[in-house]
Amino acid sequence: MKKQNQKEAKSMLRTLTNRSFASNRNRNLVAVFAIVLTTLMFTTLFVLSGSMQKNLQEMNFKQAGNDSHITFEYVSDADAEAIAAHALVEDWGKSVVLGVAENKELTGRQVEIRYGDEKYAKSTFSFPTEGNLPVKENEIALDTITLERLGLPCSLGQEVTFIWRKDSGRDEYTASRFVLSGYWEGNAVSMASMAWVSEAFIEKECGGIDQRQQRENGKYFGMGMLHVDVRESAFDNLYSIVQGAGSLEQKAERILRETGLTDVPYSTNIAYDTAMTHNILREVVPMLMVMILVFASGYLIIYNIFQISVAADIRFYGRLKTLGASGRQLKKIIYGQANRLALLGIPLGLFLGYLLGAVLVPVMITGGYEKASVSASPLIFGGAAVFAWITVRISCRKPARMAGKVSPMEALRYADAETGGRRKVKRTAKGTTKGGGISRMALANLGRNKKRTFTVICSLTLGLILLTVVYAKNASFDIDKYMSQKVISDFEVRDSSIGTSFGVYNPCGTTISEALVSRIEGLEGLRETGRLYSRAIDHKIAPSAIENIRTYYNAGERISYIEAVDPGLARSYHEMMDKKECKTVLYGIDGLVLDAYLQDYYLLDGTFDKEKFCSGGFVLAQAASGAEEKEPEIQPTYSVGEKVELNGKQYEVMGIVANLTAVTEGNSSDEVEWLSFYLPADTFRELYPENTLRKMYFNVEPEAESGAEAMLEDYRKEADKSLSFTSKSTLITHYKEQTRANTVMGFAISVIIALVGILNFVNSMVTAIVSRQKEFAMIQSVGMTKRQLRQMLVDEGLLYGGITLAASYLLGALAVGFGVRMMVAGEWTATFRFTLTPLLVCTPVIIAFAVLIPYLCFKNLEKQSIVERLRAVD
Amino acid sequence: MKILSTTHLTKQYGTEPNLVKALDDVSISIEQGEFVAIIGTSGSGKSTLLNMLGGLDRPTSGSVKVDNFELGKLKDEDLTVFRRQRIGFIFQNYNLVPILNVYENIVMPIRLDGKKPDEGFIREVAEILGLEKKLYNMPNTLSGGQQQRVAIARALASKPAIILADEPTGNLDSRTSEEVISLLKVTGRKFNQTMVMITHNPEIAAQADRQIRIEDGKVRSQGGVEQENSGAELENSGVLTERGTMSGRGGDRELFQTKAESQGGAEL
Repeated sequence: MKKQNQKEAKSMLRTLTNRSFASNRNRNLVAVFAIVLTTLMFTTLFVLSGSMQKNLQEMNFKQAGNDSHITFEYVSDADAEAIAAHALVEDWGKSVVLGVAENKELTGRQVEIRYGDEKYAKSTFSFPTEGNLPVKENEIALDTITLERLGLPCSLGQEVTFIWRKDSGRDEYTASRFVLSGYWEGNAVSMASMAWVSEAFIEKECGGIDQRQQRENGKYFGMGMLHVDVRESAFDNLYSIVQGAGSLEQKAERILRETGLTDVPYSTNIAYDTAMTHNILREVVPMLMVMILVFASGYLIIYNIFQISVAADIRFYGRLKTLGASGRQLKKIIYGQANRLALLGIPLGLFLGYLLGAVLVPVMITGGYEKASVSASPLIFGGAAVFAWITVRISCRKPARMAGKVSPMEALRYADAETGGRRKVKRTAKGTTKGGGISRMALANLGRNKKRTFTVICSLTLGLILLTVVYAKNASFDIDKYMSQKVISDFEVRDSSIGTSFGVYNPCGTTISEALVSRIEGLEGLRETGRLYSRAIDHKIAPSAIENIRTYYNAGERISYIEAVDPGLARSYHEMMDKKECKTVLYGIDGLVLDAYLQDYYLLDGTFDKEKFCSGGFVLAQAASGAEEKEPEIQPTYSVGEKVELNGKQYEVMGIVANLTAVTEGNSSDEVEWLSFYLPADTFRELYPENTLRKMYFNVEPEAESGAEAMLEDYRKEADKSLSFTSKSTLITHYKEQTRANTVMGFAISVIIALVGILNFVNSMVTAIVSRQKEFAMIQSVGMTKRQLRQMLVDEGLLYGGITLAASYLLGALAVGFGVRMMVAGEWTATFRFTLTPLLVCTPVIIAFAVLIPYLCFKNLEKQSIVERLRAVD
Repeated sequence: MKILSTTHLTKQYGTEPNLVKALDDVSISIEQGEFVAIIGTSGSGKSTLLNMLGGLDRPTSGSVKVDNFELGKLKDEDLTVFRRQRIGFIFQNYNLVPILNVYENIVMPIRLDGKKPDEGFIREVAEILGLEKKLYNMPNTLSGGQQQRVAIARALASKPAIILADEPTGNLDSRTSEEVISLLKVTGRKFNQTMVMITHNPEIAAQADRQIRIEDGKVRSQGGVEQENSGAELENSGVLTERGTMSGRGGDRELFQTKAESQGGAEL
């Protein structure tokens, strides 16, 4: 019986819902459009952030060089078998290391000659896309970067010769000839290229080598490397989120413990560190805020559409109630219509949103990685659909309640205005002046439904303010401020050996040769230059400095943090503290570099006297990196005024300077250098006459910039392929590309929200005019002229637009003046500038809409005679 | 047996100084099976009284009792369910649902109540009303008389105990009016229905068992034998019974159920 009841009532409701849906075509069109836009925003937002996440992880993988969980190093064949057999190991790949290619053309790029199985090759993104992994003894597979460096064509069967050493400690070079069996697109982000040789070649070169001996001596020749993926459970993820990191370390330790190989070194892939990939504050909060904004904009329009529609059909709902439809049944009719609209709008929105996302992703994710991949996880579509549907549902709640609560009597009386509450009798002192009367009427008309007017104004204002804020935030970025930290000159050339991570900086490198220096010095428009030399030395640390270092690293639990994330670094630290000895970098600086440290901002302690400094006997000590941005504290080095003994000579510390990455970037030795000191270049040269330039900096006149760049390019092509240099202008372009992500996302979303606002504005104005057809006919019949009516409608539109613009300017000014100012206050790269440019641009657009829409609606009204309109029944 | 009664019923609209007393201390009582005509000038409060009897509007004070249910004590949702199960309304402006066809209009209240319409009965009613060929037309293709007949058919379709008609012939020509009234009388007798009808037409009023005249919101005359039967006796006429019985009606009628049951049955 009950089932029967449900069926009958349901089918009647369905009939009512369907028919009512079908008879509201215009509303449906606008509503579907609004739902499409809302869904589109959610989808695009999720696609963009999902893709960003995905690309970020891919980038992290590529920087890490592989996508495996754990890398076990220096493993013997037996170790590898034991580890691979462990229960925790899900998948593994093995490689055997021979050495590093040392062909002259390859300086600056590390090419590792190894054997790797398929899994290993794939996990290092180095699996041949053309040809195959080598099988025969003389076969080799390379990436395009290596081939390009060698000046060889990418064609299978190409002959390649590599020069390498079996023992990096000895000057015994081997030349091996290979035939290219496969190649793949090189990955510039990763630090090294792989050169895969065959298992047969490995057997020939290092068959029967004592692997234990090799490991004990710290030699990699003939040693295996194992990439391992461990089994993961949902619990692991939870654990690592709670713990920050460590789940992979624990598993690696467990594998080693249970296989009894405790002395095998390992490293975990930092790209899996959840603390790194999921920064809650940096990612979740802004994401949530944007989602709330999207929801708000969707709510404001969908609510308005339904409110207008229910208000217009209120008699219909009242009639149904009179005839026995309960409030709940009426609500069901509204929700049923909303669901139908959602069913039409959401799939379309998902589709368009994905397309928009796919278009935007490559625009926003660039810089180094040619192919940005668009994330198409079902989670994105599911999530966007759910959020869009929730928005629709919540938007309909109030209109549905209004329909459900309609009292049969009220429905018969209902006029589209707020009922209840007494109105003050308004008396206009002078209603006689023609214009005044009309515009006063227009104002009164807007006031008839204050809630709706408010919603529309909110909706449009929201979009406009958002646009302004995104623009102002973006405009506040100060590239000069940013660049002053990143580079200290227009151009910088580097010795190629500071870029290698396997090898060590060669203080007598040949990249910045005399030929290059003289070419630079001969440049037209050359202004200042600066030289940088460096040398790593062993240094016995004085007790006072040891105390400083201890104080610094114990403060804020720095050392425990280091122990957690970088055990190797921690080991080195404790070694230094035990032996009171460490590797120290000695820099020789002059010109531009010296000037850079002269700036107050980078001089953290002491007073700097250039003349005194250059006269010799003084050094500058380097602070911890980033110290210039923090509160002053004791730096982990000697204090100002103390004496330092460097290579047997005494120097006095004149000042403590910041660690400028533009100067210190690149490797100096094969150990951790805990201390750095700066000497004048000339003093340095006296100490180490054989030292060549580490880096050279120079500025040119703006018009000479392209000439200088061309010269460097030419030099690289003709004289030294390993030359690497940066120019400020390319860095700027590069930076802009990298930061485009947030800008693109911000603009995309705010433009759509503004669009939604305009749609809301147009819809409200059109429905307000159409629903008053009869009323207009009535006032026309009692004497209002066409001109006056048109004037009234246009006045209404202008008032609407005017109020919106006034609110937008006021709130926009506040949002920019306070909000954006506060947002950028903490960012060292920003200089706040007050701007309302987007509002200024939108102003004529809004005004045009405000005039055009009433005008067009009026044209449409005119088609029917007054009598026809008076007779029109609902 | 009393089926409809009001006690000191008052309805006011607006507030001072624009207070309108649409009904002022109205106490009437209608017997089951009676045909009562409510007469009075425009604005006298006739329609307000009818709306109160049907539970469409709530009184300012006083009470309305239908079938021993005090309407003022029912919640909105229950009132709606009560109305669709017990009362057939016929409105002056028909109140047809424009998006439903004739047949759907007729069966809508029954189906909203979650019941299966009695097909045979509806065919019979449609035949009596001359609508059998128009069942699948949309309301806007019908003449005024036809639309009113659809409204009547709808009121009768659920075999309600009470028919409330607000000038059912107000928009009809005299010949059609005559037909409609005799139809109502025929069906009323056939299904033993109580009928309360507002009319301006003295001829129609004359056909009623009794006439209640309303002026300025007050009952001027109630006619009939029970005229003196208002007042005190009505006030004491028993407490509200949760489950009123529809005595005198066939056993096929469902009772007005308590909230949980009726809602559970009628809706999802």
